[in-house]
Amino acid sequence: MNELLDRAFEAPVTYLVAVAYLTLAFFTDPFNPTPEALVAYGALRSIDAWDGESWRLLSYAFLHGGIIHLLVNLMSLMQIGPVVERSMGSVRFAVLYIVTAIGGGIFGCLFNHPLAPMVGGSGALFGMMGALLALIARGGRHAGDFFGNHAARSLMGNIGVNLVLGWLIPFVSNAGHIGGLITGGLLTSCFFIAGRSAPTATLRTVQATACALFLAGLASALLPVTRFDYLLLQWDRCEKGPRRDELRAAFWRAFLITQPAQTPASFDATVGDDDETAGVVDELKKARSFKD
Amino acid sequence: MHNVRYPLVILGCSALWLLACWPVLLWLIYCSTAVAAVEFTQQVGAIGTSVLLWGFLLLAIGAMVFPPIPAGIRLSFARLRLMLTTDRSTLMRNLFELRHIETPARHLEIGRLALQFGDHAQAAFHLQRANDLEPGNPATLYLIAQVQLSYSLRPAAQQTLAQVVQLAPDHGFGDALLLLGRTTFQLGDKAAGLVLLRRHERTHGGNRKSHCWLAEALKANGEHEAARQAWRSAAEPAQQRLTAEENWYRATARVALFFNRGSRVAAQ
Repeated sequence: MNELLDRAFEAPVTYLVAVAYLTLAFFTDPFNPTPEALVAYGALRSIDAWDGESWRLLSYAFLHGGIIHLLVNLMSLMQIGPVVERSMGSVRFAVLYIVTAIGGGIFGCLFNHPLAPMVGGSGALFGMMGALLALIARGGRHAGDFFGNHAARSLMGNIGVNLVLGWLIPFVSNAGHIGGLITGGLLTSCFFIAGRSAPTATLRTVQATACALFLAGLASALLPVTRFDYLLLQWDRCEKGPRRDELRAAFWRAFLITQPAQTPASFDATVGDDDETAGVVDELKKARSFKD
Repeated sequence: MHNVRYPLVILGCSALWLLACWPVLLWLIYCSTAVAAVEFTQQVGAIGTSVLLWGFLLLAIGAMVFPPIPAGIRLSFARLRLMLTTDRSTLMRNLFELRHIETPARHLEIGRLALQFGDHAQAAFHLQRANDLEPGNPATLYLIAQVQLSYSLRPAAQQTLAQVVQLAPDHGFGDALLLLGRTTFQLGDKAAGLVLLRRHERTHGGNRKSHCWLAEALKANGEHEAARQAWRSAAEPAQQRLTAEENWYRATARVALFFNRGSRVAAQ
């Protein structure tokens, strides 16, 4: 018990995150969580994030979709977390967890189905691996030093295997993994490591660019103004008037390009009337089951 | 190098800023006309796809022309070939015989072979055991330093290499001294690193690797012309086919010479 407490005091944020995983798993039923329960507790669905629930970009990273998912992520967290936390400090580690979870959420919103709930801390765990890679890269002066490093090669192999497994296993969001990995690597190399030395003009430029990219990603994830799903949601919510007609036309324009198979053959987006398309739209709304 | 890199950083960052402005631009268009935003995205998407395809093609051609890329590919293949074609029966025989009689020489041999196969954990274990049984063997210590370097444990590797150089200054035809100089330089002691690398050059002559490392140390110590001379020596055309490693150092020297041509004008 004392040993566990000592370890917890060495890496407090890691243990707090682990406690959060377990607590939320208890509330959502660790053995058989329903999608409804997960969504109620903060699972990330793009459609909810577009609808103003942007907090889901972070909350999903503490929820898990079953006991195996929970155990795998918990084990990974307990292996990687203390190493990273001791390397960079608890405050930075907490920032890393939050930012990489949001980074994974952004990628999830951009590339996943808008109604598929995304849960799990793996985006943030990939972020920690990205941070570890950045920390190892700091030791070398050249790319050759980095690729010659056994730890770096082993870590890259681990990341590669996990990404391949993510592609092979259904229901795994690799977009979230990649988002977390990129965010963790960039955050650590541009801010945490670089922040230890005196800032140079180059460093400030790179940091500002990284911030701008992160904000742009966030904006794209929350306001994908040219996606047909988002436009359908806006059209559905908009009151009758010229703006609603415009949104309808924009939706059909986007829908025709991205989903040509579902569009009626005779339909013309520029002149099409609602009677002709009502069936398609109703079907789409039913499939998307928009919240009222 | 900084004067060349900074414009490149600015160029890269400008491209990324344009990318970052994209959602803002779309949002502004969407607020005025939603259809225009969709049409604009489609047009830019069509143009962007072809630009990206051509860009990737040009990048791939550029990468193959950039000397370190083909040299790096050749080096990786050479290492892979060495790893796959080294006879594993020697390793297995030594491991088997170790069950009967434990000798430092056997542990050293296993460590050497494991290192060659890329099994660093096994190498570390057997080399450490060899060192416990027979402390102060420069061959064991040199291989331990290599394992330490492969895990980026530079301060420990520096200490081990210093021991090797003290015990046998010419170990590995001066390779221990060369590696000590390089590690010292990488740990931030530029002047001491340069002294060691110069000592290696003086006592063992140079090769392409040592010229490259010496050039970096010279440049870091402000001796730009001497650094260029060292890079020129490393980049000299070969009379006979170079090994993969020599070819790699020649390629990096050529690139270093190219990027440091600006400071030559400044120095003159």
